[in-house]
Amino acid sequence: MPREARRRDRLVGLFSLGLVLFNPPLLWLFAGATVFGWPLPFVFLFCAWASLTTMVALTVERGSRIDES
Amino acid sequence: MLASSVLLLAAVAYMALLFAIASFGDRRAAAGRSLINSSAVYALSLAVYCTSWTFYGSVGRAATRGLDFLPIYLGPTLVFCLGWVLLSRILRVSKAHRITSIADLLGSRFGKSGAVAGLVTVIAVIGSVPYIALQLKAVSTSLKVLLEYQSGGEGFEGASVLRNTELWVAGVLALFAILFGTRKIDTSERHEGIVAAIAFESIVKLVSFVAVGVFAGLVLFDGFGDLFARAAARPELARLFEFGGSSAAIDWIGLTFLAMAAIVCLPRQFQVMVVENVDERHLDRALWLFPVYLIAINLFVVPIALAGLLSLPAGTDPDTLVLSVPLVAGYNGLAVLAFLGGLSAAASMVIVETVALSTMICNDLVVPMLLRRGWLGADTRSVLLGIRRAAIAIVVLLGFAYVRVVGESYGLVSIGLVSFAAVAQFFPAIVLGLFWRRASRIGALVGITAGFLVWAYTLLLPSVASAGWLPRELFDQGALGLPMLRPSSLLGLEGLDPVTHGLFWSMLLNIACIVGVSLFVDQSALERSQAALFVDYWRGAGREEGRLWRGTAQVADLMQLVSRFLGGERTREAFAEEARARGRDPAALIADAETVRLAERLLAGAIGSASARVMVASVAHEEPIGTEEVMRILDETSQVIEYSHRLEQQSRALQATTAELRRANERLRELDRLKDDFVSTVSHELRTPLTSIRSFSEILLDNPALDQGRRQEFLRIIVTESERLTRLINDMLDLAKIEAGKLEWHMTRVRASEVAAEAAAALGQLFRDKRVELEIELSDGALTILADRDRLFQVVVNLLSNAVKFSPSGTGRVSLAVEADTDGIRLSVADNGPGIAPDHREAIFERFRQVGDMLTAKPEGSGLGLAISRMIVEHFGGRAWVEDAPSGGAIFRVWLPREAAAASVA
Repeated sequence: MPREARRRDRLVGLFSLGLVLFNPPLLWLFAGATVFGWPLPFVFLFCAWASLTTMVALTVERGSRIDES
Repeated sequence: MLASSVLLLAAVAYMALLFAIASFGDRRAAAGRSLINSSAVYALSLAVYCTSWTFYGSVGRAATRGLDFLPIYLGPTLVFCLGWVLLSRILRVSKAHRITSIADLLGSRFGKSGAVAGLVTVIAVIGSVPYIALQLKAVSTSLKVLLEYQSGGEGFEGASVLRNTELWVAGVLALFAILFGTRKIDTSERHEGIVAAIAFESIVKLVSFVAVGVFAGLVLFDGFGDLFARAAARPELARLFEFGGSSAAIDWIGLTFLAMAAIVCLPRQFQVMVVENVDERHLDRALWLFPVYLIAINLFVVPIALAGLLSLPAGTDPDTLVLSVPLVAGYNGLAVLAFLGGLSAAASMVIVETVALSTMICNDLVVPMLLRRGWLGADTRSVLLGIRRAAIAIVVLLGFAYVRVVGESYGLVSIGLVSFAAVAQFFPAIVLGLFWRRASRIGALVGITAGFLVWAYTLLLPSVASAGWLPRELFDQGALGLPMLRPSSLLGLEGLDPVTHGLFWSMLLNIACIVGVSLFVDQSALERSQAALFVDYWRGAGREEGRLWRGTAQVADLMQLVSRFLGGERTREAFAEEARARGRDPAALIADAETVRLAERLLAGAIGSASARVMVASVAHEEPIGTEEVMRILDETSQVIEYSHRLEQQSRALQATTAELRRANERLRELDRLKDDFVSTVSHELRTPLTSIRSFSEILLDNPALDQGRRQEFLRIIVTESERLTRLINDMLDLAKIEAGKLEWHMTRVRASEVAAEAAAALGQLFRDKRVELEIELSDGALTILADRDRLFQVVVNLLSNAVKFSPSGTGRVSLAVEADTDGIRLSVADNGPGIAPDHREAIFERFRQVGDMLTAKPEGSGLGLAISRMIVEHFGGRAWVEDAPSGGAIFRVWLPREAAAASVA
């Protein structure tokens, strides 16, 4: 149960991280800028999105393996 | 060229394939080999969230407003991060109470209230109809784009077919929903065939959208970099990536919140996420698989929008860019694939939404009405199915009518957002209902109603009015001519997007009413018990459910009642299973609270919790339990939970202490064993010299006639052995003192090189006797350290005598060096003896450990010297160790820290 709770807390932490990354004012910092000719807001949003999802996957999947063993 | 017949054939063939998949899924389910029992299929079915609004509308929005289509998908990603806090709780509670719709969830939570469930149903229908209309419109628009393109935009042969496209599409989808969504009345309400088809459609829409995206970037343009570079060169396109100002920021946050609410509250999402869920564990993997799907389908929205804007003439409808982009390049096949993707998106939404709405309309609107009038006959199953089928047909027809009436006036995305804002009105009630026990029925009713009215005034009316049904003055001057009441800027709140504006006011009022009213209005007994069951379910409160009902009933009555809705066979099975679970004979099942609950749960699955309660009350005579008593029972329950929680904590603490004690005990035993070893070693070491002293003394005593030479020799041995004995005892005393901390240390500033030189001089005779050469190199300058001079002397003597002991006589070379370090001095004694194997380098610092061949030559010394030396060095804050010497033997090194403040003194 504590392990379960710890993973749940981790997911809540990721939720908070997502709130910050996906919303202004942080997002507004990249307005109009480009990186290698690509619009920075576009690149940033998808990178942040993919990273967040990866972290959720790691949290969820690693946990379930522990539970099985 | 695209012939309309080819296109229609493709559409018809595709729909036929869907029917085939759905019927295959149902057959597999009936055979017990579920097609959808995997988290991947579950995640794909969740992607019903991506409707034609995503497929066409996102590109349209990106082409006109830049990136602000994304919050609609970022919001759900965030909610899925909260999967184990919010979603799994909804899932668990719903499964436990056999909840089959979002209306039922809220109705059940707020005291099995028919009023709440009915209100939610009405709002859900009103909110969903425009959305269904949007899907129908999207299909007909996409068909029109494909056909018009072929005929160059002027009168084309498919016109007659097209005129009624929406009706055709509506008809086919309604048929599909009726066929696979209303097969039977079941307690679980799962439709495996539909879910299989939805999952398949999710794959089709993803593949076709990605295909168009890749095509736009790699075929139409020279890679995505080229696409972005060209867009950047056009100022009006570059502007799409500039976010501007605080009102846009508020809109963005508002949209994110709206999407977070929608993914939980949309009737179709509840249907696929909760009702169609096969196994709770599927949610775990879906927590990241669904966001991955969202990322994949959104990745190409911007490239397609930019490609369309760059390569198509200005004025092209942005909502059809997904089709126009391949068409303009002459890739008709790709356009057809895109059309099928859009069709999938629209079809899956309409099917799932109508099935979900039909359950709600049947259970929460029609059945309660029939019950009140006593119009429900003996076998109700066919009646219920009939109601559901009619409900599906009516909802789809309403959607069709909406298209015809409101027509073209609103863009796709606007309609979608207005719909989202309607169902978002359930969000506060759901979240508060699941986490706040005091949220009450009246509070929920008032809050949802208030939010809905504000929504209707600020968002629904303008969309209807734009179709010319209401006077424009209402919007320009506000109701009653009061500018404060203008729907687009209530109380003069200007500068926001209409959706954000409407969402803000409706949510504000909604939440304020729920919280405010709940704080001031008391809950009924039933409300309290339901609230506890929902809020504390995860803490095991569900077990106490049976205690909250008291009354009398007959099993036969209950079974007869349930069989009216589920049929005799399923009813007998369910009761027999319950009896087995309780370890009783099915015939001997008594109608206690548990059995009554079972009947109610079974009925709830078929007709909703509010109606189920009314039905069960008609055959079971419930004795009302007062609010006080419910409170008492719930308090007891929570106390028991609290106690057991505390007990668990204590037992965990106890376990930790036990483990610690066990470790301490083991350590003690180990020390005891070491002490025994030490004592036996010491005895052995003492006995050896004593034995030889004694035996030589006896010889001398027994043989007075021994010649002088022998006498001398024996006496010398006795003296040597006595010396050895003394040395041993001295060393042991030292060791014991150091270990006990009783040795007196006279710490002074000492120059290590002086001590080393003295020690070398003292041992000069020993070196000369054994003909071993001693080299001394003292290069530590004037550095002083803080140490006990005599003890340091003892260390150096120990090391030197050790070295000489192991050096070969005649060719032996020992070198003593003292040098300065950055923060201390290094003293080393190297010899060219046999050296020490790496395995033994630590062991030789232990007591009585002498490395060497014990049989042939017993080395001199007590075997304690190195142990004592190391202890002394460590007392000074330094270290002692041994390495391979460059000359082949061993090199003993000692490092001692310099005296912190004394570096410059001396």
